[in-house]
Amino acid sequence: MRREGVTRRDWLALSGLALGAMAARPAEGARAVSAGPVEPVSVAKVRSYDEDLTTRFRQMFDQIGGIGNQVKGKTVGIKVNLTGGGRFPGYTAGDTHWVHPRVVGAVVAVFGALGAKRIRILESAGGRKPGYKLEDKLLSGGWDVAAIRNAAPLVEFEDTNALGQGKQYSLLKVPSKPYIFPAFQLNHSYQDCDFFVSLGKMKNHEEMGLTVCIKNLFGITPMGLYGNRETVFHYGQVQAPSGAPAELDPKSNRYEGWRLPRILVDILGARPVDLAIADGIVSMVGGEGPWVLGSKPAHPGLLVVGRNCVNTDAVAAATMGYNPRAGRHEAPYRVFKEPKGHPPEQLQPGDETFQYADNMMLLAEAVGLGSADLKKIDVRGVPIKEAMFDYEAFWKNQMAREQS
Amino acid sequence: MPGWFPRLMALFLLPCTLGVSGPPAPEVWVPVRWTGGPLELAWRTRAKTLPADAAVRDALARWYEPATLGLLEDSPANCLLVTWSAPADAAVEAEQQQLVKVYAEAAHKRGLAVLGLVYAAGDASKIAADAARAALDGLVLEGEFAPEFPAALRKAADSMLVVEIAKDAAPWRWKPAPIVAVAGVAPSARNLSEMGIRGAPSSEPWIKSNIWLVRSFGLASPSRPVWISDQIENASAVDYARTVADAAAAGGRWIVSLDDALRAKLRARDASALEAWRRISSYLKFAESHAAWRALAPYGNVGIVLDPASTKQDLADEYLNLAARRQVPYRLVTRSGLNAASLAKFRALVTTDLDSPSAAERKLLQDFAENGGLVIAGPSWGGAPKTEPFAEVPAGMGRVVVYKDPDPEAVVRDLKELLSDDDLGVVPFNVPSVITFASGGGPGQPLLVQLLNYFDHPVEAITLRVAGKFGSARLETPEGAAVDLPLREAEGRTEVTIPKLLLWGAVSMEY
Repeated sequence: MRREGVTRRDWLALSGLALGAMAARPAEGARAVSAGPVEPVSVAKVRSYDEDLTTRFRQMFDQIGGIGNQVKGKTVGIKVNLTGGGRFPGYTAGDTHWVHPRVVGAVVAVFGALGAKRIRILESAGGRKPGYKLEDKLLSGGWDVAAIRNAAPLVEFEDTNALGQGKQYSLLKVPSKPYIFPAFQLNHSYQDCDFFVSLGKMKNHEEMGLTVCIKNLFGITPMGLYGNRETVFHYGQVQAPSGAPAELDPKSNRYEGWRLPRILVDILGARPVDLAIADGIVSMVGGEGPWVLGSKPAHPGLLVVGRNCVNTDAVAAATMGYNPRAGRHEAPYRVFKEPKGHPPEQLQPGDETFQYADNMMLLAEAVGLGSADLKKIDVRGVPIKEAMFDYEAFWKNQMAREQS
Repeated sequence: MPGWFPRLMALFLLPCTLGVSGPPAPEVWVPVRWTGGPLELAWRTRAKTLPADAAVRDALARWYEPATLGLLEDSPANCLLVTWSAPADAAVEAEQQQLVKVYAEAAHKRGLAVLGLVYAAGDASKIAADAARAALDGLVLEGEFAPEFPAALRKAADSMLVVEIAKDAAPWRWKPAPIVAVAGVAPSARNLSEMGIRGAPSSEPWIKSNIWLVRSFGLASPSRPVWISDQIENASAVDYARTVADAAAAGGRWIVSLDDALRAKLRARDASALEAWRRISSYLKFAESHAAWRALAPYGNVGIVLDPASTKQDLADEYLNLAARRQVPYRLVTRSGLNAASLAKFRALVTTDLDSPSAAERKLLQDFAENGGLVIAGPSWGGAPKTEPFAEVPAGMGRVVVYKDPDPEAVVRDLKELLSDDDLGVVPFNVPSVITFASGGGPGQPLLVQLLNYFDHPVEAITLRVAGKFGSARLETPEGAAVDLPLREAEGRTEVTIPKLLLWGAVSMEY
């Protein structure tokens, strides 16, 4: 039901009554709600990547209290959100399912101007090809790598899918109470940075419901060590290899909609995020890449920035038209992955539909990593209600023409 | 400009410089399907392929009025395929042939060649004799024919050229013929999701292209003209231009085939139709003005071994198709051409077409691997794994990769990961909807990398990484003036970035 341009979801997400009701309801599988940290989150409406994004990020960083002190003279690591190739006709990968290179360039330029000593662009580039580099992956998306390299005094690129420039993996423990893994072995760059940024894309995800800044962290796990993310993390079909921390309970639920959100929260615990940046200027709905059936490009015109990754994802989710406290079987966690796509042994008990994912923000909140409660988060810049682009309605072709 | 270039251009332009005293030589024929007349209507009525629109039917019926030749005034198309013989009443065929005779005479005066299309078997002697009387320059067989008929027609036609449009390309790779014409596909690209297929993150658009097909004929006879026949339906001007480019990139020519509605509009001098025709012609001109590119041999450090006697030609075709689509620069080697000298030019060999290599072949390939090469072999090599798709067996300074059950898609994908950029030689980035074709690069030659975009939307920021140091790179496209591209050098490689590719571009890199 739509009331003067405000969707049903607006009411769910924004009315104090609904929020209060939802906040009081325990998240499925989550532990007792903890009062996680709360930091301001900045929201901006940005029509296109051609805008002056450097100025925009400076404004947004100021709105969340400034980051100059944390960045000056420091090594900044930026985990950028890339994924598979493919294109929607007329769109680049950076438009729809990767973060956009101009966003990365602008952020690098601001960090450089704020005096960052070194900026490292980090992501698992993948591939077995001899000599393959992260820069090659970026070139495959049409990025101007040289422009990003020149945007600040010292910019490095590291493929964190293996050891990279390091001699050994770094052990990062989960100081909060872990769900699945107590620690992870990661590329050295995730330890050797003073200020860590998760630069995620605001898009749907076929299995997790949402990809924003928490989900973006999945790519920091090195396949060079763990072998195969699907079998080890998604499905838990094989245990982590010798030398990598073992999961706490190998007999725990293997269903990825239950398992992976918890692993993502563990990763966030192991490598806390100092700054979360969500790119939704152009994006996609219905999946995380154009290979997902039914997915399509969208132009939400959104940027969301915050110091706390959970707070930021919660606000980002709200600007996407979702209730950040949604439970299983509610959008966006009512997922549409064909259950036959799962290993059959995971589909237990038989009375479950296996078309859900647990809300990773609530799981993170429950272990004290940050609040997903919009009532507690100080949203600055454009109010959520004005910024909102309803992903679900757009996906279902239910959005008013002037909004889409 | 290198010294060899003007000489080659002069060779190709020779017929033009001699003046329009007759039809051009077959080597420079640019074919266009120019069907019409009462016979065309009659046989298509039988075949139930006649257009419903009366105005379009009328345009086809009157196609051989002299005015239609005016459409060719500013077009490189110089070889008309006209309706000549088809299943219909003898009287209709006679009327058609009289009409075509007059039209051919007028076409000849304009320096155009005229070939008669034969759609069904008949009296070979009569067909050939009638064609000779009409002074046709040749006959083109299109359709299903018993093998005896083309042979009889060739015999009867004497010196007149007879071209068969083959549905099965493989035999024609090795058959002697002055021109080879084969049925191709309508070039296009679609995402798997548009086809209702749930792909993987590594999935790329499904591209239909004839580039590999044209290339496959170059092994036996590199200079033989190759014509691609496909009638594209509901085509836009861009689709037509792409089809021209797709055939031309590797040196072939599309038999320009405009749909009935477009031809009817052209005949009526409709502005949008004329604009589409101008665009098609501009692509034909671009192709013909770079005829020298046809003389450049394919570039590639990967050799794909073809066995003309193989019983699995379809599988061999799939390797060629997928290697082209997956941007693996390759050259072809015949099984009989395997020797130490020919293999020295390669860094990797795909030998899955060799069902069971002979002892001599095995030794040759083993030596190639031990000298640092990569051999991709099928299970007949021995040592295939039981569970994994392939086993990598070290061999001296190189390796042999033995597949349990080689699948072209997997082999080509793996090949790109098994080889370094230097091994591949030319590596394009940001090209999911693009096929690249590299040629030249020999002593004193430029390295030419052609790129063809199969999406209607332009592609921006394509990077080419090429092994070696180059002094210049120049991008030419049919749409605008050539531009020099800035070079970046690193680790003995050169990179250039193409800012925007609409449809067809060629980067010429000089040392």
